Amino acid sequence: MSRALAPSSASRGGSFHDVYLVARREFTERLRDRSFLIMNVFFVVILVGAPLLSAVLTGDDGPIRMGAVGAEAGAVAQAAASSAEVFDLELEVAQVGDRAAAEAALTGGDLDAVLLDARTVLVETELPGDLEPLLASAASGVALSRVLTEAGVGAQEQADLAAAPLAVDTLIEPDQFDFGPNFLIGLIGILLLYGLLFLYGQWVAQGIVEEKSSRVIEVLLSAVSPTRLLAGKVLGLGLLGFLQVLAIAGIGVGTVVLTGIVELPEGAPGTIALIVAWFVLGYATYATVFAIAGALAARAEDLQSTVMPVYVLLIGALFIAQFTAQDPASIWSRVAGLAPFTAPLLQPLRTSVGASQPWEVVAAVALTLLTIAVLIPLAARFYGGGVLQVSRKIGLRDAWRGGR
Amino acid sequence: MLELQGLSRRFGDVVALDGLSFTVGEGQMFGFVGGNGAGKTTTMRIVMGVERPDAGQVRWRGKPVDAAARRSFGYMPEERGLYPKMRIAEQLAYFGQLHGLSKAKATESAGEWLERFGLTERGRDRVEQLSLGNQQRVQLAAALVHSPEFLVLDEPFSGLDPSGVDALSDALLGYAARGVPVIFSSHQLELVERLCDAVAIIDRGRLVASGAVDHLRRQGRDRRYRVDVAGSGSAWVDGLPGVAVLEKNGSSLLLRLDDGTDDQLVLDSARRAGDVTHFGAVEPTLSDLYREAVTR
Repeated sequence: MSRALAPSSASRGGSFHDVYLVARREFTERLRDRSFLIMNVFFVVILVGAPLLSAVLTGDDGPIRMGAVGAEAGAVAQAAASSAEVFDLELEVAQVGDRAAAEAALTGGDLDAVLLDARTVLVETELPGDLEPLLASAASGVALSRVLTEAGVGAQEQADLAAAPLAVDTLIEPDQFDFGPNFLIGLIGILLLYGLLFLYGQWVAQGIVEEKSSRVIEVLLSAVSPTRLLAGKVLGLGLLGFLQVLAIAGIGVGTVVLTGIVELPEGAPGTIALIVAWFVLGYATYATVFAIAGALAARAEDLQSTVMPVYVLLIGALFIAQFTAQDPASIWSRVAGLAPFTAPLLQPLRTSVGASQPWEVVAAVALTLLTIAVLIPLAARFYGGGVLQVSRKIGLRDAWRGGR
Repeated sequence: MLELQGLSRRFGDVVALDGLSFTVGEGQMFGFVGGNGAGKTTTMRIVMGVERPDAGQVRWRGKPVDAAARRSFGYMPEERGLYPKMRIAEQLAYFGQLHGLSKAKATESAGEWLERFGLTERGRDRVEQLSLGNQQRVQLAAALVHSPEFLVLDEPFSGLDPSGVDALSDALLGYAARGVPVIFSSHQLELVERLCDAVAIIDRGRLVASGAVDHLRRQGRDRRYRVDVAGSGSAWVDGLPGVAVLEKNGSSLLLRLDDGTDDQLVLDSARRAGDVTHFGAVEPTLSDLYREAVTR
């Protein structure tokens, strides 16, 4: 060993450099972990597989192939085809010569149903789905139209009559919330948020306990201050979590857009961006309390009890979110949407149905940021006081005193 | 040099350190000796900044020791600890970087230490895959990887086989020879005596003796001789001025000579009494000094 290797006294090793080194280790060690890899393979399979699977299961079989024998049946079939969309159907119409040709086309699988005349439909075994009312109403329409035409009512007049809109009046003010596809994205999103906050928070706590139980903490603290060690750990894992959330969102949206199987709902990018943003805020909030829980435990077994209050917070947040999902106007949903530990799950869900006023979003973010600002120095102190207590579990009070 | 000045530390009702002061000089190999619970580990943890003293301070090269100074120290704690699942070479490089080396230098130095300990082939293994002896070597490498300017080793020899003890002794002597002070604690007093220029003996948190081993041997002690005159008792000693019998074991006597007494005259008397099979000054071992110091 040459003396030249000796560190040029603290030329390196500013506080950022320490934090960076610790963060990089946390990031790369976790990234290389086999269980992390398996989890992500699982996510990709779900993200790519679910839309594909749903497309296969809902079975978009293409349009119903409708034959018609003669002009009258043809007119009815055309009328049915033009209003098929109301019944969520699609019709293709073809003229067929006679009944024999119709039978041949049905048994040969070229057609699904054939109108023999305005009121008779021939099928192989049964009429597909909602075809019966569609054809019945089309036949009535054609018959009515013929009578009206004979009575001298013009085509334009008939069209205007048919298109007259229906006014809907209600006794009770309808919900202003939109429980459309965005709501579904919100629901899936907060489940994902919950899972990731749980996982990454757990990793923060476990990482701290592992350093204690393996006793490597003493070697570390002879070179790095506890605050920097904690900061590096939280930032390294947080960055990994953030990238994972981004990747999940990207792969999810990418699959939908690229395959084109399912349409991306309007407003979905906004909802997804909110979920990503709330992961950052939620992680910052929960990582600090998970860190405190980790600093109080000496071994993995202790962690179960010290981390319990944090679990209660996080599970409680999910519970409130699920419970009030259909009722965002309730006081529960509104309050939990503002409160720091529940807002990360409530707020994206509320926003996805348009239930949050802009001021509520701003207030929730501000309160969460304020909480984070208060929690960080607290966590640093508890961590500093608890992290060297490697032989037994300690209480908050002792950790506080130890963290001078 | 490192100065400990009046270190005190209590844990609840237990006094771990009680005004402990001593100095480790430049390039000194310094042994730290004391019974279990005497306060050695607490002292070392305070030096490394892992524990805070209730009173007193540690000074390094004339200034209170701070984080920047400690970054240049190497430390091997009593309870060994490494990341069990992290690869060895990367782990050593990581510790090197935490101690201020650049990434390239840290990697290079980690490789050199692995080579030195014959672990080059295992650089990509995880710590938990190594035998305990090899884990101990990696732990030591973690303390040395940044070429520390001061070494603090808590019981570095415990758990090593004889060849491991020799290898570590050589490495530490090499360090001290380059001017890097080394302080280590050990219960193996013969080893401490053989390796160290100076020692500190502590008991219940208090310093009972410190200084160069040779100096401690002579300091305030009477001159002792072991004499064996075949077939004779202790009668020949009677009447010799300034000589007292401390111990009698058959014909073997342990004598105390007063300061003015000429040992050659005692030898003459012995020869007159019969065949002298043994005559020699008795130097106390470190174990003797330790026992005397802690029972005083």
